Amino acid sequence: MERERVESLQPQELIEKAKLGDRDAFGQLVARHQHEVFTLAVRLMRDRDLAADVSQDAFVRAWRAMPKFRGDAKFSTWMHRITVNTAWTHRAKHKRVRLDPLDSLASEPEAATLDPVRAGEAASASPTIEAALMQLSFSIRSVVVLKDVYGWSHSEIAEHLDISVTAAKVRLHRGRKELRHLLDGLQDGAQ
Amino acid sequence: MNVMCSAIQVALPTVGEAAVTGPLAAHVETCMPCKGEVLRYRTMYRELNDLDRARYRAPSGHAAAVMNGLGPVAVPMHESRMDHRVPVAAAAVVATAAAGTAVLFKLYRDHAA
Repeated sequence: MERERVESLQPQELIEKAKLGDRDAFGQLVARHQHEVFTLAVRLMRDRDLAADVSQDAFVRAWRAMPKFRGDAKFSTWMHRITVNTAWTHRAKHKRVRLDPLDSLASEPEAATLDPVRAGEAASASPTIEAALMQLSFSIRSVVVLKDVYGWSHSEIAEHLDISVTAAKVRLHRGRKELRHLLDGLQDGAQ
Repeated sequence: MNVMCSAIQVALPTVGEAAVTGPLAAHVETCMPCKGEVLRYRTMYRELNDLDRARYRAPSGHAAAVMNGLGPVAVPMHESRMDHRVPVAAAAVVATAAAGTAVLFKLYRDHAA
C-alpha cells in the first residue's frame, strides 16, 4: 500500500521525502534512474561489472548526500555528477590493483552485448559510435562522453575530473579526432 | 591536401557542432574532400548526441543491491543543523565567560593597584 503510494509521487515529492530519510522514496528514485546512471557508468568504465559497482556506489553516496541536495540542478544531473566522481574514484582504485598503461588500445566487447532498455531509442543510436567510444582511453573518453553525449561545459568537466579547462579542451580535441578515425576503421571493417 | 584542407582538419574537432566560418567555410564550398569531412564530423556529433537518449538495462538485482547497501538513514538537514547548533552555542558561552572573567580580573588588579 505504502509502496504503491510512493510509486505515484511526482519526482519533487520523492526528493523531498528522500531528503528526510524516507527509504521507500529514495528506492523509487533508484528505480527510476538506475538505467540512466548505469548507462553513464558503462560509458565511463567500459566494463559491465565495474559499471554496476560504480552505479551502486553512486546511489549510496547520493543517499548520504540527499540532505544537502538543494535542487538547483535536476536530480538526474546531480546523479550524473556523483556518478562521474564515483567512477573517477573507482578508476584510481582499479589502477592501483591492475596497471593498464596501454588503456587506449584495450577494447571491451562487453559493452556491445548490453541489452537496450528502450529498444526503440537504443536502436536509433549507432552501435558503431558506442564501439568506437569504448576504444578511447578513460581520460579521453570521459571528456568526450561528458561533452558530446551529456552536454557538460568545459568548466564542469574540468571541475569534476580534477583537470584544467585547457586540459579538458585538449583532450576533447584529441578524442574527437581519434573517434573520427576509429569510426572510419570500424565502418570499413563492417563493409 | 593544401593549407586550407589542413586547417579544416584542425578546426573540425574544435568547433564541434558549430559550423566552420569565414575563409574556411568558403573553402569547404569548393573542396569535395573537405565537404565530405564536414559531413562525417556532423554525422559523428549527431550520433554522439543520440546516445544521450539510449539507455542500457542495469543488471537484475541492481536496485535491490543499492537499497541493501544504503546503511543508516540519511540525516535530514534540520537535524544536522541542530547538531551543529549545540556545540556552537556552548563554545559561545565559554568564550563569553572567559572574556568576562578576564575583564573582571583586570578591573580587580587595577583597583588593587
